[in-house]
Order: sequence, then structure tokens, then C-alpha cells
Amino acid sequence: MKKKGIISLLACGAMAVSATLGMTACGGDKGGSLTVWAASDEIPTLTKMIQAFKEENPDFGLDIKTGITGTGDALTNISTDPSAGADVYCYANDQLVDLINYQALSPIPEATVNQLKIDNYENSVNAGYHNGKYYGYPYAADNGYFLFYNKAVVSDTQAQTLEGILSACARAGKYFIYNMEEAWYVGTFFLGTGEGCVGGTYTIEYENTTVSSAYTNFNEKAAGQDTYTIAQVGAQAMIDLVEDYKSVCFMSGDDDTIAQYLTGDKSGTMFGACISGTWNAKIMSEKLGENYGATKLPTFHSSLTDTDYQMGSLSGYKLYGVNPNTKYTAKAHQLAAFLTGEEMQELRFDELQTGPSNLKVAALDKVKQDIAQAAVAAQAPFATLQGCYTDSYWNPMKQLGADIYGAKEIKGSITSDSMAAKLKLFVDNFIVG
Amino acid sequence: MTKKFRSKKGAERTANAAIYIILTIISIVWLLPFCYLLIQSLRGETGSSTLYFWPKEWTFNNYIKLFTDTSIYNFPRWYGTTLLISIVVTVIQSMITLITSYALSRLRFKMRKPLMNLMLVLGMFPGFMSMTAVYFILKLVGLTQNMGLVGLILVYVASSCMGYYISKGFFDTIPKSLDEAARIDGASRQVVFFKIILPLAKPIIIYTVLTAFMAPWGEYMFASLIANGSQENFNVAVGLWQMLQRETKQQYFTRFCAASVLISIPITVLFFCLQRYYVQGVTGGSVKG
Amino acid sequence: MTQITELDYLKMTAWQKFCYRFLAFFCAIPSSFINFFTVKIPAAAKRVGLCFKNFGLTIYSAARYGDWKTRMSFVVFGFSQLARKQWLRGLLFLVLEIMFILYMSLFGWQYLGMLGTLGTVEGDGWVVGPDGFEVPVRGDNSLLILLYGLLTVLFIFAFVYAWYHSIKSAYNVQEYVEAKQSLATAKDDVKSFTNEQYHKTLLAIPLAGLTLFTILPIIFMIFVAFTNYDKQHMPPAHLFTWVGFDNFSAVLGGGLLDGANFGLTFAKILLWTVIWAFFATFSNYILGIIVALMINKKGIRLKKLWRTVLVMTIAVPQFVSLLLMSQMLGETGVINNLLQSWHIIKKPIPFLSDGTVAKVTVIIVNIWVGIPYTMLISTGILMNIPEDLYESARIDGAGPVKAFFKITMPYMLHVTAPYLITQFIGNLNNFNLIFLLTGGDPSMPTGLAPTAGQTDLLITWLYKLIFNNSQYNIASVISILMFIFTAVVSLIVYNRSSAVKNEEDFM
Repeated sequence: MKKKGIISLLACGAMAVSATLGMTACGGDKGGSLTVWAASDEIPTLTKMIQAFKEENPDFGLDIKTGITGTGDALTNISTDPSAGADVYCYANDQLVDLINYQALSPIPEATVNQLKIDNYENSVNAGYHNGKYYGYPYAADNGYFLFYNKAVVSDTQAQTLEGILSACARAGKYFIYNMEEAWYVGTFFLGTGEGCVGGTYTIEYENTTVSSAYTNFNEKAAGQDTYTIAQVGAQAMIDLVEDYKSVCFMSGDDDTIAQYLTGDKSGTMFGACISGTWNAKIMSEKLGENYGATKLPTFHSSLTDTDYQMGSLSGYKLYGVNPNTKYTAKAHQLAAFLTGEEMQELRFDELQTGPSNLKVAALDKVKQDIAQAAVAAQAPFATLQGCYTDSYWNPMKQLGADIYGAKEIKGSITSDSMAAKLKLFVDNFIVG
Repeated sequence: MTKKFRSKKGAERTANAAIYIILTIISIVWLLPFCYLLIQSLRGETGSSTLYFWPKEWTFNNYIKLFTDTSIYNFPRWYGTTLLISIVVTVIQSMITLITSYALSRLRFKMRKPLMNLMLVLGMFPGFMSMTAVYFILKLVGLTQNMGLVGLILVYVASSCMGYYISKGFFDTIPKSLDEAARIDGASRQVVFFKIILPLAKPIIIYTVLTAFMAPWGEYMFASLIANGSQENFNVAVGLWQMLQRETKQQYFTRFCAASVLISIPITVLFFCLQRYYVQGVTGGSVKG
Repeated sequence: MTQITELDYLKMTAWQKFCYRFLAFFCAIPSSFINFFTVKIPAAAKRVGLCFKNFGLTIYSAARYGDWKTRMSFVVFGFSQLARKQWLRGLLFLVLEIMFILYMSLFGWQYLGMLGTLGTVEGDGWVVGPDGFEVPVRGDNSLLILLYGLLTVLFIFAFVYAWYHSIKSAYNVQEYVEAKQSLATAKDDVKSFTNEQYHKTLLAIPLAGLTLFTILPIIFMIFVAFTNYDKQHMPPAHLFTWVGFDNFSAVLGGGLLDGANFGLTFAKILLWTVIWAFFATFSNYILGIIVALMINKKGIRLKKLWRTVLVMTIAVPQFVSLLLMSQMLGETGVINNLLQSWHIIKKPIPFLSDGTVAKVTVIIVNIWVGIPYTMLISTGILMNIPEDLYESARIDGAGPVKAFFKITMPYMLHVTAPYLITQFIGNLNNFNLIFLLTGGDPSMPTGLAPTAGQTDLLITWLYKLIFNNSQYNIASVISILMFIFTAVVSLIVYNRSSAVKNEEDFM
């Protein structure tokens, strides 16, 4: 008399029933509301915006909820299950292609796009462009890096050149901090665009989803040069920096290091200058007070070509996008457009010091006078719009920076040629992969 | 003779002194990160890190703000959520672990050995590999989104039978003659388990409870996937992670440290009180485990 | 390993005995390994074969000798039982069948049908929705097809199993009635689940949870290894499909990945993983015992305090303590600064930024993490060592160090061998420590796959492959290989270790 397995089968059966029930129950859980995501520190501001939206649209008819997911986490939180993501959420433009691949972005109607282009920096709207469609409402144009400096150490003129900064820091016994071990910043010696940049001018093909086109020029000759390539010039500059100034007044480190040197030791701040972005503006002004300065990245002098080159940067935009899995596409677009509109960008600047993409807001005196925002604007001509690079860009760049910074005896073992060879290998693979 | 005796006692004393010194050093080394955490949580200056060890300014503000300034970071709520998850997980997981290990230790059935081997090796498959699959299974039965916490608890406890090892070892050390005597008296298996074995298994129950209780406090990966941005479902790990973002770290790091100190308090207290049983449980279990 | 006679063995000191057994144990692993595949697996296959035979025989005899009521049970579960007034059992079977049919017709069949192709309609392109906004074309979702398809297959197996038992039970009932024996009543059935069938009652829920949330996902990931599920084929917008053994040949063939030598990177990481597991396990083990001995020594006071101090490290969640550690150990971190300000060192020590130093650092930090556990475990065991062993050693003139190596260590190793092995395998897969402390950094030298770092273990590398590169297929292959390796080794080890063999000793 065996009843083997009855119990386990019962459990399976229960699962089957709940699965069936689950399916019928699905879909009903979002009824009558829209969810908007923002980073944790932006939530109070977002709540105000939603309040303003409700006042302006009293018959909107939907409840609006908030959730915590900043631009950094958007892709992670969306990717597993786009249909469970927020209806309206913010993302950084380098996640665009991935988000589209997950069918997590809804295209914006053409008329709206035209208006967006009139209201905002054109590049910020283009940052949401992919294969003939636009997928985002831009709201922030400050996702890049530039130079912060301590006016007590580095004068405004000295801040224009890397050599000036370093000698000023060395004299004062303060530090210049630049994160050579993080891929995002390593590009600064190679990626300059525009006048006086090592990489010369080139534009990014928005049509092309692969990024390889933007970086194949690493092996090309540097601007105005027929002997040395971009890779050689950039690598040599990094090597020189490490060789001459590491453990004198140059330090590679992340935001923690910057905070450490800003606070300094008993005798006060040890901070001379650093390459970082607007997220550090608050602590800069707090710790440096009157001496807080920021401007575009400096130029560097190449020992190979005996020329000065402007340092480049990667920059990006932040946009609000609409999840096509929403039940209320039109209303979600309406909300996204409102959240990124002129008044809201101004509110955002007032409360969070976010650099606006809206032209009118950017032209406001208070924005122009903001030290960090002015620096963003000054760096803009030399910045490359950051595309959807994969790890096949980030990892080799990181490896390159770490190799140079970590080399015990730089002379001999690491040269501009060996590094350039490495970059060549990387570019070659990059094209292939 | 007396001299020798005395010198032996002297040697003993030196040895003890040496041990005290070593233990003190070890304690300092072991406490250093904890002290650092505590000190950071009392630091008045902002910034994610400092070059020096002792803060220039001491303050309790970081702790106070955790409870007063909840508009952005609702720490009390995360704490409550995590405590709730922990308690439910502890209850269910302990029950599952104990009944599984009892069954494997005391009952004899055909698939016992293969089952033990299977449960043993399943744990070696990297858990994060199956996260997506687990998520969609939960979604199928409607346990994501609003029901996320239920789903989260379900996932935490679903595979707890795989942790049978130590407690089965402990059950093995309880003499089998005890249950045989009871069986002869006509008690059913169930009665034997509840009336005879469980009362003897206090150390292993406490061990299981402690281990189960600790786990949810540090779990980030799945909790974050399930919470999916909604603060109501944040556990402390997911919540605290928000304080460490690029934009927030400089401002909130000291508060993060304060929160971490508060998290470690219940577990430390539990450990301090239940240490004896924990040691007994783990000893019994790992000897035979 | 050369064979020695029993006499030689008896002549050895306890320490030598232990070493001998320890070596013998590991030397036997290769042969056990072969044994596993040549003896164990065929034996298991034979058992499975027997099951099938039984299955066939039961079905056959029920079909051949069953009356119409039993035969009816082939189609309608529980018919025979119900017809013979065994209500509870019959009803249960019937309910099961109805639920299965419901599941299949409402949900299962659509996924089952597409399992062969994993979907055919690519979700590319846009259509204009009802409100004038474009919405993406919904294609098939390969991921859901694979997952829910496998779930359905699992249910079908369970259903066939239920069918078998339904028929078997139906036939049994018929036989009982024919022999004029009394049938088990519903009450009997329930009662037997607290007694003879108690293991089913106890294990039903644990195993259901295990199947659904561990076994099914693992089966899913195993199947992924045979698909092209990677960045170019991510659902829901794109389909992935079966590619056979392509991924395996890509990994084992040592081809190039991201232009770097994949095979060499794999080998390098594997080597470090094993080295790490060895040092991490034994350093913790030996130092943990020493600390426990010191605390347990007679005359040492405040035992509870010392233990609690150590245990506090367990109380702080690892993501906090390790984050703090990595901050403290940074080039500008507190430790370097203190050392510099005390003029012990001139230049900061690259605790985490130099490959070799970082490897030592992670092992040391692991000691910090692990000693409390070892200390707790050995505390109790040490108390069990008979005091007269030490006494006689002392009379023989052995100092504490000698006593440690002659008595404590052999005893501990003998008793805690299973624990040691668990730790070793746990360390092979120690994701948290490496991930939270170094994240695998610093990066590998040029030429090796740049996804990998020098302190990366196989498991943290896998994590990067999935979450940064979405290479699910390759990651599955690697985890299968890893899984086979660790699972087989640990099965052999467990089944050889004394604890399993002597299970009945205490009973």
C-alpha cells in the first residue's frame, strides 16, 4: 500500500494552481498609477515636481508614485524585467542602446522632438537618438569631468596648464588628484576634440550603434604631427606625469581620496587640484570656501612633440525616458516632458545644482555664475559625447592606466611605445569585436 | 623541589601574561575595523573618508538624523522591514532545516543517500547565475512587485534544507536508543521528534536560529532585484547602498556608518547571550557533521 | 603513495599517522575520481534502469489483469479507488489530474511547443499604438520560453509519476478487494504520514522549495550553456536559440575572447583560485585553533569577553566591514597614513593595488573574517580532548608547542576533517570576500582577458562575465565545468570521510 509521492505531487499541484492563479492575477497590479524613478537624494525635489504637475493638470486621473533608482542603477534595475520597471525613469545616455535592446524605452513623437531641440542643447537631445528615433527627454548636461582647484595653491593662470598646476602643487606641498586607474578618466589624454586637442576633431556617428568608429583614431597621427600617433603622445604624457610627480604632488585616487585630501590633516587641507565632476562641487565649496575654483581641464605639454595639447573628456547627459511597458503611454510622456521642462530644470538647479540642458535655464545668471556649471560649459567644446561603450573599451583603458600608475620602475619597462602598442592591440580588437 | 615548583608556577604566570598580551593585541586588531566604523559614525566633518584616524569634531548627529531626517532615507522603516524579514526567515528556515536534518539523521528511506548528496552539491552552483530564473518563477506566481517581500522571504527560505549538514551531525550524536525506547512504548515518529528529540536539541536550534537570523541583514543582490526601486521593500543593505552612490557618498557616508553600527547591535547582543549554546551546537554538529 | 604495513603504521607518531592518512586521502582522490565514473555512475544508471523496468511491469500488469475500473484509472485518476470507496486517495488523484490539465491547457502547452526553437518571432520594430505613440513589436521571449518550458517538462515528469502511482494504487485496491482484505481508510492514510511515512511529511515542503527555487534554475542555467544567450541575443527584443556544443568548444578550445587569450586567463584564475582556497582554509584553521587554545587555557579569565570581541566581526554585515577594510587599506587609507606618520614606512604599501601584495592582503583579511568561526567551532572540541593526554605528555617533558603538534592538531584534524573540507570548497567559491574587498582588482597584465583581475576567483570572474558583459552562455559553460569539478571532488571526499561512514556509531 504505497502512496509514494502523494505529498510531493500535492505540492506540485498546489504550485500549478497558484501558477494559473498568478497568471490571471498578473497585470492588475499597476492599475491607476504611474511610477517615476529618481536617485535617492532627488526624491524630495521629485515630490515637489509631481505636486506642481498635479496642480497644473488637475484632471490627470492617475496617481503618481516615486521609487528610488538613480541613473547609475537604471539599467540594472530595468534589465531583468523591463515590464516591472517604472513607467518614467531617468538614465544616463551611455545606457541608451542597452535599454532599447531591452525594449525599455518608448520613442518620442516627432513634434515633441522638434520642440525639445529648440528648448535644449541639441547634443543633449541627440544623446537620446538611436536608429532614427529619439528616446529621451534631457534634463541634465553636467555628467562629465573638469578641473577643481584650490585658489590658495593654484592661481587661475596656473590652472590653465597641467605643468602650472603640478609645479604650484609641488611648491605648496599640496596634491593634484587624478584617477588614472579608472577607465572613464584615462581617456582624457587621448580623447580631446576640437582646437588644440591631441585627437583632432571628429564627430560621432549617431547612426552607428557600434562605438568603434569613435576610437579607431588612436593609432592615427596626432594633430599636426607626422611622427607620433595619438596613442604615443597620450601615453607618454601619462608616463611623464607618473614619473616626475608621483609621490611628489600627484596622486591617483577616487572620490574618497579627494575627500581625504580636501579635509587634509591637522594643518588643514592638502588639496591642490583634481579632475572630477559636479557631484563633488558641494564638498569642494564646503571645504575650500573662498578658495574653491573650477574650470576646464588644463593643457598638457607633450615631451615627444614639444607641443601643448588640450585635455579632453568624456561627457554625457541624463534623460528621462518612458517605459513602453506602461499602460498609459501618452500620460507617461506628458509627465516626462513636464519633469524635464524649463521650470522643473530651474527647480532642479536650485535644489540639487544639476546642470540644466535647457537653454533658457542654462542662460540664467545664477547658473552661469555657478562655479562648477561654468567649468562644465568651458570644458564642453573639448568633450566627447560618451556612447554606449562596452567593457571592451573600459577594461583595456583601465588596464593601461593601472599599468602606468602601478609600474615600480617606469623607465625601461613602460614606454610610450609599449603603451602605444598596447593601445594598438586594443583598438584592433575593438574593431574586430 | 619547592624551587622547581615555584619556577613552574612562574613559567605558568609568564605564559599567561604572554597570552593576555597576545589576546589583547588580537582583540585590538579584530576590533580596529569596528572601532573605525564607530569613530566614522561619530565624525562631525563631512566627506567619505579622512586621512587621520581621530575625528576633529565629534557628534551624535549622524545617529539622530537617521531617525529624524527620514524624508530621503527612511532608515527606521528599512530596519523594521529587515527585522521582519529576519524574524520570519528565522522561524521558517529553522523549522525546515531542523525537520530536514532530523529526517536525514533518523529516518531511513530509499532515496536518503542520493538526496543528501544532491543537496550537498547543489550549493556549489553559483547562486547569482540563477537569479533571473528565480525572479521569473516568482513572477509567475505573482510574488514580485507589491508582493515582493513575500517573494523575497520565500526565496531566502526555499532552499534552506541544503543547510542540513551541521544540524544533522548534531542529531547523529543524540543516542538512537532514546527514540527506540519511545517507539517501543508506542510513540509515533512524530511524537518522538517533538517530545524527545527537539527538547534535547536546544544548542543546535539556537545555532540554526542565529545563523538564519543574520543572513538577511547583509543580503543585497536579490533584495535589490525584488525591491525594484520601491522604498517600501528596501532592506537595510539595499537602502544603505543608496547612501554610497557617487552623488550621495560625500554627504552621507558618516550616516551610513552610524546605520551599520545600529545593524550590528542586535546580532552582537544575541551572540553574547547565546554564545554557550552556539558553541555547543556547532561543536556537536561539526564533529559528526 | 607506497603502501606500508599495519605495523609500520602503528609505529608512527600521532602526527605522522595523521600526515599519512591525510596524504593517503588526497592520493586516493584520483582513483576515487575514476571509480566515480566507472563504478558509481554505472551503478546509478543501473538503478535508474531498474526503476524503469518496475514502471513498465506495473503498468503492464495493471493493463493486463486489471478490471474495467482499474483500466478506467488509466484515463481518470483515482477512478478505481473512488469506485471502491477509498474516497480520500481517489479524490486526491483526481484533483491532481484536473489541476495538471488546467495548468497545461491554460499555460504549459504554449511554452512547451516552443521549447524546440526557443521562439521564432523576433520582437524588433515598432507599431503605432492606439494612443498614437509607437510601441515595440512584442516577439517571443526566449528566456521565458526556456524557463517556463522546463517548468512544464518538470510538471509532466511529475504527472507521469503520479499516473504511475495512480495506476499502481488502483490495481492494488483491486487486488485487496478481490482478496477480501480491508482497505486502508482515510484515517489510516493520514496516520501513516505521522509514522511510517513520516519522512514524506517532513521532506515534502523542503524538497518542493528546493526543486522550484534551486533545481529548476540550475537546470535552466545548464540549458543556457547550449544556447547563444549573450549580449547580441538578449530577450525580450532578440531571440536566442540552441547552438549545441559551440560554447563548450569556445571555452575549452582556448580561443580568443576580447582579443585576449581566454584559455590562459582561465588557467591563471583557476590556479589562483586553488592557491587561495588552500591558504585561506588552512591559515584560518590553524590560527583559529591557536586562538581558541589561548582563550580556553586554564587561568585565562574573561573568556566570554574575548570570544565576544572576536564574534563582533560576524555581527557587522560583510558588505559594511569589507567596504571599510578596502577603504582603510587604500593607498591613502588610514593604515598607510598611520604607518607613515609613525615613520614605519616611507611609501604607502600597495595593499590592494599591487597584484602580489593584494593576494596576500585578501588572505590576511580572510583570516580576520574567518578566525571567529573556527574559534567557535574548535572551542567545544578542544574541551573534549581528554586532559590526561596532555598530562602524560607533560610528564614526558613535552612543552606546549610540542603538545600542540602531537596532541591538539592530530585530534582536531581527525575530528574536524569534514569541516575543513567544507571550508575548502566554500573558499573555492568565496564570492563575497573578493568581490567586496578588491572586486578582482588590480587588472591582469596585458594579453590576458581584461575582464579578469589578478585577485579574481573563478566565481567573481563569472559574475563580471554576466553582469558587465551579459555573456550568459559562456558563464554557464564555466560554471558547469566548475560545478562538475567541485561537486565530484566533494562527493568523493564526503563519502570517504569518516563522518559519513561512522554515521551509525552513536546509534
